[in-house]
Amino acid sequence: MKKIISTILSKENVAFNTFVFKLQTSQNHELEAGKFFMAYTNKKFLGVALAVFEIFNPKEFSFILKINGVGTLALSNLNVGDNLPVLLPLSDKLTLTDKKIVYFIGGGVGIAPMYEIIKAIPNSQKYAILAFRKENEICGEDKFLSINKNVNICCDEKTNNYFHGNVIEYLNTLEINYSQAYFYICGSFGMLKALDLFLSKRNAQGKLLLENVMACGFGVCNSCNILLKNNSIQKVCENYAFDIGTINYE
Amino acid sequence: MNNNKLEINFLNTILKTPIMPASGTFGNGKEFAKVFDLNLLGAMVAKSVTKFSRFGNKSPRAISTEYGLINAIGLTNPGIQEFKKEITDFNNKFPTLPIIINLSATCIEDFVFLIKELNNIDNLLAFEINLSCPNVKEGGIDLQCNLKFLKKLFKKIRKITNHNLIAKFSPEANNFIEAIKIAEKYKINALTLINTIKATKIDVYKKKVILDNVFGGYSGPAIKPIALRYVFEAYQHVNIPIIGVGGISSAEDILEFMMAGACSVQIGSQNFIDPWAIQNLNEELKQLCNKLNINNISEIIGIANKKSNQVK
Repeated sequence: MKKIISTILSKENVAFNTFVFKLQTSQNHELEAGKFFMAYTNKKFLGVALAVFEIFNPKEFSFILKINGVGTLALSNLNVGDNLPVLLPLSDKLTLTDKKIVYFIGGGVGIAPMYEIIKAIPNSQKYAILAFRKENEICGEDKFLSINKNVNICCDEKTNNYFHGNVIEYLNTLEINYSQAYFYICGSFGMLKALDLFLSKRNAQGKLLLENVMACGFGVCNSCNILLKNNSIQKVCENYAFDIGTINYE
Repeated sequence: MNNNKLEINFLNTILKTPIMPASGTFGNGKEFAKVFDLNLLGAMVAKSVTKFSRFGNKSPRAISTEYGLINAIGLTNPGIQEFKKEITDFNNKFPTLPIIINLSATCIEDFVFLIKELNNIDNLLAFEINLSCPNVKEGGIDLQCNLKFLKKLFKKIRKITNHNLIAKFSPEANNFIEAIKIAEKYKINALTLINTIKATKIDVYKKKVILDNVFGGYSGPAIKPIALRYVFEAYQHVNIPIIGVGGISSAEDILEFMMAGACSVQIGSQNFIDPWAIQNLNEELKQLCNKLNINNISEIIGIANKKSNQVK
């Protein structure tokens, strides 16, 4: 873990209140699939936890930002050429499956970590499902199509081109042998919980990449702790990938 | 100016620097030991420990605001037995670093139990008695507001330990001055001022409170002037050492607290914003002391707070 300075190389408004920032770091970032980082706008704000989207080279990567609070709003006001201190790399190494059929489900900005995970799993049939609540939030389709031919989008709001409904409704339209498939899922807590229960009942295997509010990102503040079914407490920032069926929602 | 000019005598122990972390913002040192050499701390202040393990409040339990952090962690900790293992392990790694252990409980018996359990810990500089956690249902700020309870508690715990006792107070009680005078009267050795301030935040788009616990403790730069005021006032009324805490993020902030009357300071939320904050503040403080021709940092304690005539 190190705190280094990055410089914003590009900033693209890809959907409503949603931006893709490309950063260049002063030292090697050492990021890989499934890692995240903290970004700091100034000395008075807490950092914002962000998943890595695309890794270009040892000193360049991108992330997706959705405005949802003071920290993300301040970040969204940064522009090309601005400096952004970052703390990275964070979280343990993600376990990559060797199953032959793998589904990658991202909800909202939860699509971000899926991009590098798809790239990191070479020899499987891979299906990306990108889920959004509103049409004006849809993004990333072309980017995911550039690395994987199977990309499907579902949206809670009715659109002309995409599946109308949530991810579970979409999965129900597919013929999936759940015990043979593997799932990587990232998105809102509500979406993860619903999918966790849905997939557990079907004996599916996979990892839930949990988003949770955190103040520090490196295991000190205890803001992000969650309780597991075996009664152990896990700090989400130390490893945000949880096996399906292990989280205690009570 | 060399490093030892930051040395202070705190509770008859020479600390290398007046800077220490605030309880709850530094874990039990394990994570930060990977970030910088903890031997440069004035003292290690451990996270609050309770008799039994506590998961804490439900998520979300922390929010970033424009000028600070609201946390409703709820005293998450593994309980006294696991804590003892962690702190013993810490002692083995940092055998010369003084330790302050923050204790939380809902009744006198449990404070007594905790102190007895920890009385033989090596390098123990003091027990810090948490009388004012703003985000638990029992054992929080209500303890500090009950002066009768305070008297009983202080009397009892003073009897069972020869270690130093520090009382950590919140500003949220109209009997604050009376409470700190009771602490002094019952031989509490020092005060930590101030704990976080009870606060909340509402999501106007979802039309609901954000924290599951509704309220949390507000910390960070916004509370610095308030904390400074309480240190200033306490220095007027009692003659025991004061640890200043609340929104410190620069060497100037540290000097402000010390000039108001604090003899050491704790760094809280800033540890979340920058894991290297304490290391950097230590360096900045040396440089600022040089710039201001301060030969030994102890000489500025209370310098801006003339006890006789400034408080009406």
